[in-house]
Amino acid sequence: MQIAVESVRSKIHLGFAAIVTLGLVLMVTMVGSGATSLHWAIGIAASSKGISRTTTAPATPTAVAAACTSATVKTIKITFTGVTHATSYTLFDATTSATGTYSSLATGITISPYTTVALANGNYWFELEALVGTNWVSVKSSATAEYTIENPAPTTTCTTP
Amino acid sequence: MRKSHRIIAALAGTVMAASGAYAATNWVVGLVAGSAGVAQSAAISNLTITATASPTLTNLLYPGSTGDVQITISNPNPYPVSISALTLPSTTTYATGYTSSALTTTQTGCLAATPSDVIWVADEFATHTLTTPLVVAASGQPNNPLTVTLTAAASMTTAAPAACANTYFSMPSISSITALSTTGVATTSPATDS
Repeated sequence: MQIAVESVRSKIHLGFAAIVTLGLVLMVTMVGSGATSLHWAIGIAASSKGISRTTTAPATPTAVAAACTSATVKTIKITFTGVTHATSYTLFDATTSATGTYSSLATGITISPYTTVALANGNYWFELEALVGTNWVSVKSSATAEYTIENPAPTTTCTTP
Repeated sequence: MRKSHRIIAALAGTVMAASGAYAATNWVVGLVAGSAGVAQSAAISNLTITATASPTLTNLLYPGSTGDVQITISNPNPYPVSISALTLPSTTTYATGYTSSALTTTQTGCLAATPSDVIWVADEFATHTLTTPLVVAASGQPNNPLTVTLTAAASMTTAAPAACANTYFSMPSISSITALSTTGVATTSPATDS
């Protein structure tokens, strides 16, 4: 009787051993197939988008001022307060009045102060605009005071009337 | 002999339990993203990514710069989902400009076809790999939907039209995502990925 019980127990144990082997084979197969960390793969709905935003157009340059480089030189020094994100500035001049027609005198100005090229004799008013990139342009600044370039013999003079 | 059999039996029980747990949490799936689930598993539903209705963007775009993009991710599934990357459209697919964050009225002179010169910033293979995977909570749980700010994820060329100033952009549609179900802890909303 005792021997019969032992035989049954032995068979049960062998059965467990077979299950162990099967389990190990299963796990090894799963690991070997690279399936150790796979989960459900999830997609997204069509037209899944985000939102972004731009700044406003560049601000108008402030504190724009002109000054004679010297009383005997025909260049003008322009000073101004820089604008956030501005990549360059364009200087305009008018020769008839502060409200006259302005034309571009210099482009690509990057730093204050800026000294103009030698100017022809005449009266001048200046305005400045800021650029961000190539197309974002600010409103022009207010006109500076009038400057006069003349060269009565024997010297050239720059004056503020 | 009897002792060794007991040891084997104990091992068998352990392995069976481990196998069961493994199968329950990591069972192999070979489903196409977004496909319907099979009978014995939970259904798989696509995540929805939308433009955040009232975005709180810190770094705004201007010509020659990069700026933030904000997205809101909704997970309709009854389990958390971990997102590790976004697959973005090509660099010649431009965003469309709108006059407000409602994204209903387009900005004249600042459309995708203009072009607006606003695009997604992507690394190689048009993939935007997240610095840290985002875990969107299960449906009905806190932090779902999840609002995420993707730092410097959009760029604008120096030649962008002047009409694009002070404009909201609906970024081009995200092509796909790399996302898996997870048991991880949900990311707190709002989140930032830099």
